[in-house]
Amino acid sequence: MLLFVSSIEASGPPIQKIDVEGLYSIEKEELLYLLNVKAGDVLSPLTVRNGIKRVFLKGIFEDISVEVDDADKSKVKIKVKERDIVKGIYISGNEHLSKKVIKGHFLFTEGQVMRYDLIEDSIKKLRHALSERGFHRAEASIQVERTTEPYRVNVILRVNEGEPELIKSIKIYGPEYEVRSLMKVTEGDIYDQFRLRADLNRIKRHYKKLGYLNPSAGPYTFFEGELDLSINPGKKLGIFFEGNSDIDSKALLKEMPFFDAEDFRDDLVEEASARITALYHSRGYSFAQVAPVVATDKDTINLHFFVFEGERFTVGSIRFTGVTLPEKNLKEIMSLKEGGVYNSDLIDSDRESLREFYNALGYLNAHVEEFHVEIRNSKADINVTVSEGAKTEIISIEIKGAELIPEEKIRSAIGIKPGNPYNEVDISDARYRVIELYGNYGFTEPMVDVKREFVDKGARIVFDIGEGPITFFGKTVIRGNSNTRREVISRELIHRESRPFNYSLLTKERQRLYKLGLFTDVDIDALHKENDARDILIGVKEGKAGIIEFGFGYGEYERYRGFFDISYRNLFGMNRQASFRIEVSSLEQRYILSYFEPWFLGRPMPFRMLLMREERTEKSIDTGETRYKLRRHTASAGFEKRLSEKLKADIFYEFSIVKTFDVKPDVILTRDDMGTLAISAIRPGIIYDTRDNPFDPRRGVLAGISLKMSSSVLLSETDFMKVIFHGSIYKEVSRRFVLALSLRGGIAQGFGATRELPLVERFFLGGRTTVRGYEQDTLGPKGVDGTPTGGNAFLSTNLELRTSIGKGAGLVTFVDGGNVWRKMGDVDASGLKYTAGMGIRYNTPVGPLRIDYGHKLQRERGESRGEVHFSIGHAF
Amino acid sequence: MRYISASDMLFKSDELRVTSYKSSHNLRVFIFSLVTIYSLLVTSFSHAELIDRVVAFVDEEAITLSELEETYENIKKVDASITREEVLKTRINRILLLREARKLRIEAPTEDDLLHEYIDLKVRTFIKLKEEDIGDFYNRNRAEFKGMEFDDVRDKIESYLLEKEVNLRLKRHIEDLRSKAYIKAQL
Repeated sequence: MLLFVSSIEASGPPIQKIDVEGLYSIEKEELLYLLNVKAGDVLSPLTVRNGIKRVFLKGIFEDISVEVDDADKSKVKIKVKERDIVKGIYISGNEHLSKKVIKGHFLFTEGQVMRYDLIEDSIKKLRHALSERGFHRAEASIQVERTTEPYRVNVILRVNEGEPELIKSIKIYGPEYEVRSLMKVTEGDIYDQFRLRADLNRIKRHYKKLGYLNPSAGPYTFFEGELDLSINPGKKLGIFFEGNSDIDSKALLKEMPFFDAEDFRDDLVEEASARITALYHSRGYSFAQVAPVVATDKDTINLHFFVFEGERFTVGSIRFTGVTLPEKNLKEIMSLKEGGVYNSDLIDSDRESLREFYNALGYLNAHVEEFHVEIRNSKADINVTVSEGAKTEIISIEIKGAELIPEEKIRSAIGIKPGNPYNEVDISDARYRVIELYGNYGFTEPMVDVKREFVDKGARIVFDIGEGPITFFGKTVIRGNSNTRREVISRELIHRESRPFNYSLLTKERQRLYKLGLFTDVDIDALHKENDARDILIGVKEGKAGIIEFGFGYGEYERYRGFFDISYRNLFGMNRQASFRIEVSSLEQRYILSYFEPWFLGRPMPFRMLLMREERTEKSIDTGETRYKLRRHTASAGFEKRLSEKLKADIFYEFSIVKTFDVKPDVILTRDDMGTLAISAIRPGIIYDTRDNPFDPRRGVLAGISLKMSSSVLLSETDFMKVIFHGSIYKEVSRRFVLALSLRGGIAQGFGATRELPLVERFFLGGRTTVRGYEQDTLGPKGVDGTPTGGNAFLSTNLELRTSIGKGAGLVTFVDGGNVWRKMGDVDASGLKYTAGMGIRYNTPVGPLRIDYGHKLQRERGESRGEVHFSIGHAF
Repeated sequence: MRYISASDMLFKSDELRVTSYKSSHNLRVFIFSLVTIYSLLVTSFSHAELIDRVVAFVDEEAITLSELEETYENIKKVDASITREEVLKTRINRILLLREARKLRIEAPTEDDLLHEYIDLKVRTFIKLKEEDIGDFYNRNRAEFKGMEFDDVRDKIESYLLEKEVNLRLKRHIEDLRSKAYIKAQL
């Protein structure tokens, strides 16, 4: 027996026990959090009502009820019924059409809520689609089968296609031979209107490509096996240019509006002429003229543009009259530049820019007269006359009505001070910043009225503020996360319940959620205000968590190389990532198993683990001689910690068993250079990164320092300490140019029984990322036969000018310098070896493809002049 | 195993059958089913006071029993013949329209104002009454106007015809919105 009590007042004893039944897809804790019902509280019907409505926003429930035991009102029972979800769709009975095609026409999809109310509609729509596919007698039936998992159903779709309608003959009204050659549908095929429509689109595209203005393909009729098609290519438009020499016809054709408009009209001809003229103006042909002549017959329209280019002008000088401001500043804001192309179309916009500039500086009545332009000897001299008028300054700024936010914070947000020039743009921006400031403190409806009083040459400004009511954050509803645990999302949220509402936090949260790489869509909405609080609704759309990548490439050192990578980025719904990667080339094979835990033990401290097997042959490119071979097994694990948005620290433990063999005798400096060696080391480091894009930085800094310490205390067979530092600066000189500078160095010292570091731990330089005039790892000390031995210290520096030449391509000029020394004490900056060179880049999503040639500036006897390198990604 | 067709869309929880409990997944399912059966048995013999429940939903928006009762009681004061079903239907229509209004980012001080703004924007602005239609109406119903001149009643006829057209189009618009939404009433 169930009684309903209609009252919204909280009453009864505190809740002692809460039972939930029927819940499957989310945890009980999440349900109670959203319902806002917990032990110890007195149950309020209004809270329950709001809670039920909030829980429902999850989108997974069909019914929810909240009851209390009649005998003991401290016992609460929550009954829920979830919506059924389609787990699988199983298609049977199809003979002609593939399951994929049928699924594409089917209303239901896997993972979606099972809409029982749409079953009949889905059958109707499917039958219609199948009829269009040529099966007009097709029948379909749906059965829904419960799985053993609660609220999960399978949809069984049985299809009986029936006999298909076949095309016995095709009659084409229009250019038959040409149309038939373009069609994929032929006599004897099933009358599939999807395929037919694709053919008609192809025919239309074909005629458009040939210059036909508005070809029509269709309509079509089908009766008793006979398909009748009407194709009319329409009129062909021929466009010809005469008299153009500086701008080729291909560039002028791009300005034509006819093909986009699929029409030929007088106004479009006028538009085309105006575009050609504007193009010439932009190249300095200020007196260019264009005359269109149209000739038409039954099938064609011929449009001739007769172009008179005239003389090309550059800007000779720009002079000002009546100005007190520095002329240099005025010239900077103009688009017309001395020595640049003279484009008469820019005169009006430059005049407006100068007027706005004066207004921004408080010259509210400034007047810029028409430019006076004198043309002579291919030069245009521009004279600008300005009546500046009086300058208006801000005398005072007063703030009224601010009670809950300190005045100094509001003044700081306003950013304008007495003495500043008066202008409306700054005041409007200041007003917006004050509204934003209030928004950050939970005042979502502030009224900021700006009053101005003009006195002599000044203005008194009053910001009159109506703060309005404060709003707080309410509860957070997360939906769409069917495979991702709620905590993965909630731990990224920075807003807190009952704290002042702030829109900017929601924007940051959206970025953080996208950054997880789990979601293809993230929507964050603030719901209506209830009792001073706004609930937050976060809707996510999950992407595919499993990724397979593979690639092939060519490098100058390894020659052919390839990789295969399989990864899963949402293990246990916790954003844990595991991957297995194989990298193979003619010189090395590497197998890497890695694991990444973004929040270790519930703290924002990423944990990484890696197991790797590597086999490598070090060779000379020129001679093909093997310097040494190695086989390494490595296990490493460690933590990262983000200290700030730009600063990151990490510490890793690394254990390797390295077997070095086939070593050229003159490379050997220590007995550890041959045979098997266990290296156990810890490796702390810190990185500072402000780059705007890690793959192709245009501005910012990347700097870091790391230490590697290997000791017998850690069960290592060799004892040494290595410090490596690196720093790179990227500076955008202009839209096309980026200057990049890098400095790298490292020192190492053996201790205990180790005098020389083992071969695999020594520093080598030379190659595609260091000193590009040298072959890979060949710079520095050499053995008696001239084989590089590596050393305990290195220093390298690079300077690059990266130039974009458009369409994703770029040119790079560079100077590299560096060297390796056997001992720390040998380091001598005057001993750096320099190379200079050029390279080509082509941008890809993972960084630019590059070819570099580095030329040795201090070539020694027997050395090559330089080296060519192929690679992906910038050198630094 | 149970099949459901278009004409048979109801499930009964006690017909759930669990066959294998080997994996932890199946164990979870088993426990879930036991709890469900147990609670069904227990609730059949106990008395409970309902605090609130869902009586209808429009996609993810729920209408609760307490809300319905509150609205019903208020409307009953002015229209004693109204039924709960009618109130619920109105409430569903209101949710559909408000949702569309919010999608258009219309702002208004109250929900009623928001609805009016939306109807004005989406329906009323598109209605253009022809002068001849007003004249036709006058001529067809001349007897009803009891000798009043056309000019005296023109504005009233226009207003009447406009409201009639608004209601007609609004009804069609609501039907269209209903067809796109997942709506279920479970009074």
